[in-house]
Amino acid sequence: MPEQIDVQLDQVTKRYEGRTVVDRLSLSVERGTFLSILGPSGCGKTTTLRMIGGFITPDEGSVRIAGEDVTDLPPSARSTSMVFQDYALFPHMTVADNIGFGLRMQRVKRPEARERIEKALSMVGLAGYGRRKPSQLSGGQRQRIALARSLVLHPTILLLDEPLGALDAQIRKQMQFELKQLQTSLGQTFVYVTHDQEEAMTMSDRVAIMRGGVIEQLGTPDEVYDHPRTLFVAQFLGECSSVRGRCEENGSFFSDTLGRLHGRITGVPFSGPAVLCIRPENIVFSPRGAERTDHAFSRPAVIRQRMFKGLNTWLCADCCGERIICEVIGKSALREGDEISLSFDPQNAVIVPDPGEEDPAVSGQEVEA
Amino acid sequence: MSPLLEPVRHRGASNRSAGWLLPLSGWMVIFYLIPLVFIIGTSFRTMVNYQLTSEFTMQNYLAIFAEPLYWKALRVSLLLAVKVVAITTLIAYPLAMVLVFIVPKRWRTFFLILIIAPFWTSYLIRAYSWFIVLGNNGILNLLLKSLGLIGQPVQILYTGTATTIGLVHYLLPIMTLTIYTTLENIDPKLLEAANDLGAGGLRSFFHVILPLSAGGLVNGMMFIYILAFADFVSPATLGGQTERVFPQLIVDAVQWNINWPLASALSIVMVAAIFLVLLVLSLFRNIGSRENGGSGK
Repeated sequence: MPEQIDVQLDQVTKRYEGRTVVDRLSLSVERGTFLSILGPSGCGKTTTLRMIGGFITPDEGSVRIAGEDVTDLPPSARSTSMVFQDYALFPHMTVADNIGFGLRMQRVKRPEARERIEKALSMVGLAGYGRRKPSQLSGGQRQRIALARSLVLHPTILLLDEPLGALDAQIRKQMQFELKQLQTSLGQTFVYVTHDQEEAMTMSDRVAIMRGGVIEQLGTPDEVYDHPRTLFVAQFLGECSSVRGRCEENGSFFSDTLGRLHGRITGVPFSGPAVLCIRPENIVFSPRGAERTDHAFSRPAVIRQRMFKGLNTWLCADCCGERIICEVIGKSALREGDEISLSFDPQNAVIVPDPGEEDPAVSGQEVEA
Repeated sequence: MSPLLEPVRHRGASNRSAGWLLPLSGWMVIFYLIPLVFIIGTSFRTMVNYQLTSEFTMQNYLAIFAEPLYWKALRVSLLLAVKVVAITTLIAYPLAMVLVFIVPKRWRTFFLILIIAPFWTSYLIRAYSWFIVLGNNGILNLLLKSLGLIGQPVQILYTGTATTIGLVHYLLPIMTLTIYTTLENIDPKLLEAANDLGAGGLRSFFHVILPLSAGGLVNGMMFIYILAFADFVSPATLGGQTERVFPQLIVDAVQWNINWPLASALSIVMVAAIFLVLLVLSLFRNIGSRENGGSGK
């Protein structure tokens, strides 16, 4: 018997006015998993989440929750609970009444309800806040209350729709940490929608990268980061330098600018137009004459841009007309205009199919200046 | 802006609002308070040879309280106003709900225009147009007769019922728009949240929609109550002579008796009667607003 499957989407499709928002999407989530659905706006990630929650009925396909077909059931009849982006706390109720709303709907007896509300409050670190109104709380506190309101019902799956989107950076970081901790300690299944790759990477057990209504790749954060199967996935999950060329099925890659090298094909082996992707942390820039000898591949280049970011420095170099980015921990002695030699281990370079010029989202991914 | 700052921003806004009140209070003084003081002053005078005397007297008030005709009119007006408030609310609330929660967004403007359209016609003309419907040979009676439901025409015109119909027709758009605005301000996410937490349609209504629209609802009811109580047009055109309303008696005092002090005193009594009911209604609203996020500790 395999692990218990909490969510199972089977060939789910949703169209709006002839436009297909989610396209024959299948997905299963095992119990206790923190799954993030990651993608740019309009990729269908929120629609997918809302179909799991029952707010949207799919045009085709089925939704199963804990084995039960719930495709046509409303949210009130599903054992899912949603944490909304803007919290959606009832402004006319106290914090305790907000958390107790679901229990009241389930006709849970008052003493028991009170106890569960108290427990939920202390679970999110807001014990004693029960008598306040949502308007008296900060954004982070409201977010915690929304979380408590859902968790108090012990849902099979907790659905989170960009729940940290409205918070400022510092609180967001802290909430990411708390969310992950809570999820682990409860063993609760989370399906989390976000467009923030860092958020998805930090918290998730598994990440589904969506684009154009389909899941482009699904895997652990390490897998999708190190073994992206498409250029979109590679560029969406973090900075990477890309070089266009051609490849053979055995991983041999050739471009007019860099020449020939032997990289790694992470997806299905193929030959034809390809893009070589190299993460900034896998590239070394060395002053001319002090080349690394352990790297099989090196080329002369010139530093064009240098950005000091505190923890690290980003260097952007021109190598035979290609724009290559390198990340150095701390400060770098290299300056704009310096002649350097860039080198990397070709085994760290990933070869993906060339999507052509079709994709603005991909070409739009550049270093923020 | 960070939601963290929201409580602070709230306090700031309430401080500023004191300044905004200045022009409003100027308006109130010129167009409400000063005329009211004049009317109060006049109500304690008498008229001799069509001239106001300067001596102070309680005579007008004593006359009013001693005259059963006025008591009856007060009762008729009060009942009429309450009836109109109840009927408009019962029609307007579901109508507004359909508009906000069922009608698709792109159709709403069209329906709103349909609701507002009667306002483009004079109220008097609208009142008279009911003659065609409610008269003894009107559309309604002809319809009922042709269906064989009645033998003789039913007397609707020149009764309290006709007055009520006229007033409801007149005030329905105002009430619908007031409730519509309140309902539209409810975040649809709240209803989704309620549904997600296990509330069906009916419980979502009682636990979320109704409490969140209570403020607008009570405001609308107050507004309708004032307008219905003080209205003269519908009773004078559609109503009969048997159930005369208080404003009609005021008009009588001005036009027939040319007794301005009496008319003034009657007006003061009417304002007081209206105010008393408003006071009770506003108590309800205060209870509501305390539940709806007044300041706690």
